[in-house]
Amino acid sequence: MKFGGSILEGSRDFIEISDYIMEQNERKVIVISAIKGVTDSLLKLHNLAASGDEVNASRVLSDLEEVHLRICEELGIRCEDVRKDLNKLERIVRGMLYLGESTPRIRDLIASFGENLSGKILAGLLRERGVNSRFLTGGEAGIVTDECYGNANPLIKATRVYLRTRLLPLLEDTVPVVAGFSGVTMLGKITTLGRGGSDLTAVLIGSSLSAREVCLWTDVDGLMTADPKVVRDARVLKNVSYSEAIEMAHFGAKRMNPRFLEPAIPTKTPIRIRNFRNRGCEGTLISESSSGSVVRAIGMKKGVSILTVRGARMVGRPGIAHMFFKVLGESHINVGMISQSISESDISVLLDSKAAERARGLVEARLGTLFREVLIERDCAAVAAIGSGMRGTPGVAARVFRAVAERGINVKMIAQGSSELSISFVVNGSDGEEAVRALHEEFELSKIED
Amino acid sequence: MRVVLMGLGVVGRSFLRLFIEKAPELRSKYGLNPTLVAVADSSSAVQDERGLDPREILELKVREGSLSGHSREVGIRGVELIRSVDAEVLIDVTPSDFKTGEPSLSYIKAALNTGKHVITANKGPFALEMPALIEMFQESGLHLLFSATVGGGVPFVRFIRKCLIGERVLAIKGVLNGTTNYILTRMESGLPFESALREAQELGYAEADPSNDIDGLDSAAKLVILSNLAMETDLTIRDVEITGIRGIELDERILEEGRTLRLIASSDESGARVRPEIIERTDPLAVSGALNAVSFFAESSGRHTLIGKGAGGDETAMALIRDLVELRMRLSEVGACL
Repeated sequence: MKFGGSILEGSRDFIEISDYIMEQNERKVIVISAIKGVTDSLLKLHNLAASGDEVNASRVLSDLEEVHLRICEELGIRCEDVRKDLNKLERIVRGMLYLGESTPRIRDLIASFGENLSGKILAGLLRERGVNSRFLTGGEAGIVTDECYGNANPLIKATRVYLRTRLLPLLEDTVPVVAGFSGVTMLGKITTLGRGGSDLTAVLIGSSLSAREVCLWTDVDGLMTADPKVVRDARVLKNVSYSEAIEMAHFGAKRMNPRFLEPAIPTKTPIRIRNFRNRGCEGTLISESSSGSVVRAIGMKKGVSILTVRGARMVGRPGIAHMFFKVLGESHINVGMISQSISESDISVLLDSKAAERARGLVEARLGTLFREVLIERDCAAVAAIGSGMRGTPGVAARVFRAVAERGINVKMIAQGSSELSISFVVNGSDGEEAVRALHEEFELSKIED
Repeated sequence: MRVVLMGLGVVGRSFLRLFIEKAPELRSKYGLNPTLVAVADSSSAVQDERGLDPREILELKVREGSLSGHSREVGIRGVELIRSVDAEVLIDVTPSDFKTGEPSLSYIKAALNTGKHVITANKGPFALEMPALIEMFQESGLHLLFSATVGGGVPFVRFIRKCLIGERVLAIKGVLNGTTNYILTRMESGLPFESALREAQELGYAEADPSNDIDGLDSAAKLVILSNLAMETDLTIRDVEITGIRGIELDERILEEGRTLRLIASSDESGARVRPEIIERTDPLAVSGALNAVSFFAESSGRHTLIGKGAGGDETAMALIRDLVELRMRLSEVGACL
């Protein structure tokens, strides 16, 4: 089970978590995130140190020390290993300040401290309360990654072998507490797994050890049929399939990086997302199977723009799309939806508002002669109807678009992948909420399934 | 190609002998001109970036039992030696350890971290971490060749990689350990286990400490390697259920019924195991003496059985030479090698 940063604020949370761990009799591995806000502070600390700002770096450093040592004190645990880590962090920061520069590797090293500190606190507390517990960093537990610092990818087979080798013998008599988010390269250098990295750590461990279930404790009830702020009677989904969860992860109150689901798929490891503040709710179970209904959830994303390139010169010329996307890719612009009509005279893409402005400038500058027009439509909202049951079911698109048409909402752009897991479309920003409500009602998502 | 050789036991010495003998042929046929830049046994090490004379090393080792006194002797050993030497390939012929994989595991990782390809005859690291090692070498763009780890006498690994290419192997079943097969064969003529073991030791089939053979660890390690290669499993030795033949008795009635007892290693969709099994004497796996036999059950083409000599020093050394040639071909992209 993994405990997320959103439920780790003060000493009381650690006590509540250790109470819960002690109640569970099954063999288990604990994965822990950094205390709320700590990873952000560490990254800030890194940037300050890299720019040589000693005053502010020292301030952030002492804040971090205070947060962790106060929790140790309140819990009444000996915290030598926590102090040791903090001293190490300070030495690294001093070194950086001295040099006034940094590398992605050092950035990862600093970012990994948050989980190590919270993990050492939890393991220390468990030991204090009579549980045989041991802390391990991601690398010590067996997570081996490539050298893509900041967003490292686990070497999946190596990681599985090492997690099994190191954790299985420990599980006989110990509750291992593993730091989420970090791993090591083959050379033993510390890497971090990017956003949502701790979820990935937990799923890697669960699937490698053939766990009965991976439980991700957070502060939301689970994946929902829609954003409850938009649809008042939105409810928690009890079961979703892996592929549906990948689609849904983009939306919702808790935006997750769907990457964490990948290791679970070949081993069919069930994952449950649960709310630690509302343990009565069973949360959402992500597994192979899902329920039968066609559309399971409605997602929406605001603050997006459509960028359209248009021109007769594009027609029948292979390679145009490549040139267009190359410009976007080289500028690290992430593309949402993509659509091109069969006439080939225009290509539209959905981008984040800020990225769209940049993209327009770049495309005009670099490919202006190729396209007659580069148009931008601002303040849009992308809406997606998600559900694996729509595969091979005729009439889903008709229901989706009739429902929005009946509310007088104009659809600007449409995309559906041929895997038929979702239908996405773009409307005016001001129509977004209404479109979500229309679909939620049309597919009767407020009714309880199962 | 500059070579570091770790280990000068039976296999290591056979390798040096072949290395000397085959040098002209390797050069003329494959353009392979390997230079020994470092050699170490368990207690001493020699190093020369301009190349060591393999004859001198072999003679010294045979005469003195060690390399100390060589003009190029160095103080560093093991991992430190591998790290510090500039070379293209590490040839590892240290003895197999199935509990820790050491020293081989550290040697292989030292080579990996310093950009050296590896050719090994050591089963220990593969038994414990094969899927991890293969993935890490691929990730680093380095080659890891290990045909000498299993069936040096019969090229099982190349059979899987070349002859069974494109096939789906559903199951593997085999007699993978010559020593235990010799013991079981001798027991067919009425010898009790202890006497058969002693005989195997006197003939040099079994080592002074025969545990790895008779407790099934050696068979299990080979099974892991074959299964991972042929069936795309990700096994380690921990996933294999192992029952050895220590103190086993052979019921004469079994023989009268035309059957016999063999230590069978098998892997299929239900799992992997090594255990004594009663099989028909007409079964292709009911080989005699120190022979090895493996059957691959392929989805379309059915059962393929390979039978041959269990690996001794020379067979294993030849497998290492083959791997060296293959490495050279892979590096120069000559020939379509897998």
